[in-house]
Amino acid sequence: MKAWQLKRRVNSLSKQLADPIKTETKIDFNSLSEPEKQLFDRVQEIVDKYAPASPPQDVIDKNADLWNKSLEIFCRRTTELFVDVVPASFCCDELGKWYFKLYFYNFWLDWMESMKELREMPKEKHEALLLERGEMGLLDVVFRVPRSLPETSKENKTTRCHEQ
Amino acid sequence: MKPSQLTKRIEELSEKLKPVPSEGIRIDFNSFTEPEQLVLLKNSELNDKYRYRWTREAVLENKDLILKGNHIIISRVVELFLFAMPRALMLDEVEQRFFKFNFTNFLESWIECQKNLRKWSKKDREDFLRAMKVKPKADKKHKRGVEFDGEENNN
Repeated sequence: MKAWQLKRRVNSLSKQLADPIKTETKIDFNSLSEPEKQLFDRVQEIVDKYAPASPPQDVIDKNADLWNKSLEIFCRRTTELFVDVVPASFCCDELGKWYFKLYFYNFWLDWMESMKELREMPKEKHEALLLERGEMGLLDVVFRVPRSLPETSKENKTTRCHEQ
Repeated sequence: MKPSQLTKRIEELSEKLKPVPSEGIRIDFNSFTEPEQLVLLKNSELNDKYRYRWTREAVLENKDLILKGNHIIISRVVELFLFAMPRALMLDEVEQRFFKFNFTNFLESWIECQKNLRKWSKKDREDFLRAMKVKPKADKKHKRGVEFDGEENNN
């Protein structure tokens, strides 16, 4: 391969790497139950009526039950997909799947607890926290929290998942 | 309304409120890129070919394809969960951050747990599973067991 051909190939590969074709991950509409499909169709009808703008607030308020129910179903189905598919794709056995559910359940409760505290926080404190975390560049990064679980004795360490 | 009519009406409403099952939730196949679709179709062909007849050799021979397929599925499901949930729950910026933060910690802890689990002997795993399935005894002191996912267990 000549130098210019090599360069062109490298450039082409770099471009492919820099700009990978990415598609949105969507739930298969046909995997929803009939009543769920009907509900989403109804919401879609309202959205389409006002497209490309969002439906006005009074329309959303008037159809709040529909909106909330569709969001609830969406959350439930997305969670169901996540909890079913991830451990299965990691080829977990029964015990691995059980631990996955246990950890997931705890993640959910921990997060709900954070939400409760955040929502009880005065607005000023909430905004100050947002500003501070933003300035520290923490809003775009996550890190592992060091675990400080109780140790009953040197011989018998208590961990969520026992090391044996 | 008579009590009998009321009972009937309640039964009807209860029936309507029961969750309607579907065959199981799936990702829209068109969400995948063409190269991803090719990998998944190849995996599906393998599944059809070896259904109930998977051998160690067959798995090893197709290891790369199987792992790539699983990798694609896991990435897409995690992506969907992380993208959709905060929006569907209408979280603000700080709440979204806490969501991501808690999620990352959950996933890392679980992966660590998986590593530990692999060190367990077959006997330990079986004993643990057996113990999990034993019906919990009533805790006289606290009058309740440990709750997990709406169901009681004794672990």
